[in-house]
Amino acid sequence: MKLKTSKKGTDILSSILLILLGAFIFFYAIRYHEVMLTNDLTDAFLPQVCGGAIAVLALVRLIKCLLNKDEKYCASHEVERGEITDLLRGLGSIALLGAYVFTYRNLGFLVSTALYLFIQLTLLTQKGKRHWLLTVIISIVLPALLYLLFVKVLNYTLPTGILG
Amino acid sequence: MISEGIKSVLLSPACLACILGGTFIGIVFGSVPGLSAVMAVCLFLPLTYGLTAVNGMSLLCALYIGAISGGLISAILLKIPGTPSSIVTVFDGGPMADRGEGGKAIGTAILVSFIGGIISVVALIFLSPLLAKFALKFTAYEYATCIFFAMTVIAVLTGKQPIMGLISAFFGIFLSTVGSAPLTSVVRFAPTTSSMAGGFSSTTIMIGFFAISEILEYGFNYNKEQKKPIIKTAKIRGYGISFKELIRNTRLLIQSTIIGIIIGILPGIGGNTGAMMSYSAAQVTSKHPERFGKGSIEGLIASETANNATTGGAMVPMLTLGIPGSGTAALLMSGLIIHGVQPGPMIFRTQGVLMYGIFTALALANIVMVIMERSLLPIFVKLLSVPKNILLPIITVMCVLGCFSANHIIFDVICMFVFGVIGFLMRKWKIPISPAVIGFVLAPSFERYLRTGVINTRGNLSRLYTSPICLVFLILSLVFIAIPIIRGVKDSKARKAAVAAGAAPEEDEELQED
Repeated sequence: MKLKTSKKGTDILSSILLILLGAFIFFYAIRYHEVMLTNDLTDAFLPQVCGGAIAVLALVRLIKCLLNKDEKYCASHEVERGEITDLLRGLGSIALLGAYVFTYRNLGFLVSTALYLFIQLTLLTQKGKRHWLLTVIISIVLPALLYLLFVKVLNYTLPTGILG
Repeated sequence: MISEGIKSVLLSPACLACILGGTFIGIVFGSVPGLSAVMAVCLFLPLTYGLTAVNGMSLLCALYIGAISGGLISAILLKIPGTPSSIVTVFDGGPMADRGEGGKAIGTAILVSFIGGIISVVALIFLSPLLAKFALKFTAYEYATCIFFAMTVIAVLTGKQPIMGLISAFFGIFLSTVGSAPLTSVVRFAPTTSSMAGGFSSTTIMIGFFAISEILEYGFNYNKEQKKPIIKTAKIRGYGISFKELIRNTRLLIQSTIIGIIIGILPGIGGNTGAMMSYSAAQVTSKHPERFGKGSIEGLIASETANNATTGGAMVPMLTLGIPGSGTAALLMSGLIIHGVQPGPMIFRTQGVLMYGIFTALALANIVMVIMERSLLPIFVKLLSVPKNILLPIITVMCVLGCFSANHIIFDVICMFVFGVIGFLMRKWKIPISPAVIGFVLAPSFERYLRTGVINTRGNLSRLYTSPICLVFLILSLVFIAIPIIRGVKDSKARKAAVAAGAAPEEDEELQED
């Protein structure tokens, strides 16, 4: 089965999600209506303005999307093989960055950064063009230099993790 | 007194060394995403204990000037604002770098930063008491309308796509409401005991939206990116901008400097508001408003002149009234108090020599900044020739480091990642990112002042139209919102007519124009 996408479909989906987000903000903010200071606009005022505005604007956009009959806009196009590879590469980057962020404290700055750099540099370089030596050098030397600069020169504290 | 003050800086090798070193370190702090002027001044504040008052203050002022100016480097080269003051610089500096004019963009930004900075120091010397009196005329409503006026830059950025731009702006404003509310301290949209109760920091929002989202987008568009030709940055002479071009923009320089100085003196709203207001004003008064956001030299000049012009202005309430207008000003004030100097209306009488010493240090730091940044320009530009697949992971590491270093909590780093993913989705759905960041940065002060105003006047909103200052800001806001929208609609109609007549190619991205 081949994947298909259309600009109209994407816009409708994003508009619906934005309407839901706006409505959530608006109704959730009701709990902040309690007047704590005399004559105050209350803590609910600004969030409700934002939530209401997002929902209304997204609704207008949804209606415009549904009414737009432009052929090019409505046409769905098949996702090509290259695009699937890119999709996997993009999702891989998100997963890798997530893993880096969540292991930053436990593994420590030096280890997590070296691992992140090595995998990310490999992921973002085409198979035939990879320079392993350069990748390894960057992955080891850069975290070490940054660690020296921040910890030894600027006196900042960075997570030491498993090396601590 | 004046000559003694000047001599205390110019004839002291230790003081000159402080200015030189401070400016360089400031530039480094400003140019690294996540590191800011506040962090630079905070880090070196304890060092001033052991220095004389004039040397210590010179060091802190040089750090401040260097960091505010250094933000332009990453804003132009990496499209990541190094400081909130340089958010607007990204809009035109980034596209200029994309078309091979990175050197010219940085050179011009350095030069106009210097012009804005030095004029603001002169204004500080001669107009301090007058400017301080003007700042005192501002009550909560005046502040609220002033910030509302700064928000009109959103209209400039979303002239063609008002619905998506407004959704983005309201989303940014909503993000600013997460955490402790102003005046009541009620925690909104977050568990009261979590790190989120303190709200999101502007650093994580800026880095997440601008930097991380771009890095993620690169992964998703990898094949397309590989096919793009490598942009060669043109070599520049001098500062990249010709004398003729500079003279042609004299009116803009003066206009942006004045806006920067005036905004700078208002406590609580700083360089970012000044730059945004100046950008809006420049677009509305420009002969080529359509070029804004696409690499307009006028947009760049407006932003960089104004944000540096706020530096001198920001010192006015701090020195003459003892009111620190920003985090950095508060730290500079601490520097003065450490040395037994009490800021206030009498400061020029009691500490005249030190005051003129500080002014000299500010002027000198601006001169050092313009020379130092120009000499480092070839190194900055080299960054553009580093392949993106190597540069982007390195930037990510710097961003994570910058986010963590701000408060030393992992929560900020996680937020940066989450906002990066949200920013990526916004890019994918063609929702502009900049309005969200502007909304986030300006909304907290707007909410605080508006609510304070309503409470102080017992719910009476009439001051909004009876106060001349409020009225001017509100009228200007309406004009500044209307003009870009009218222009956008006109352009859109003209383009559609041209497409119908077959005179212009149909643009894919505009199929779903608002």
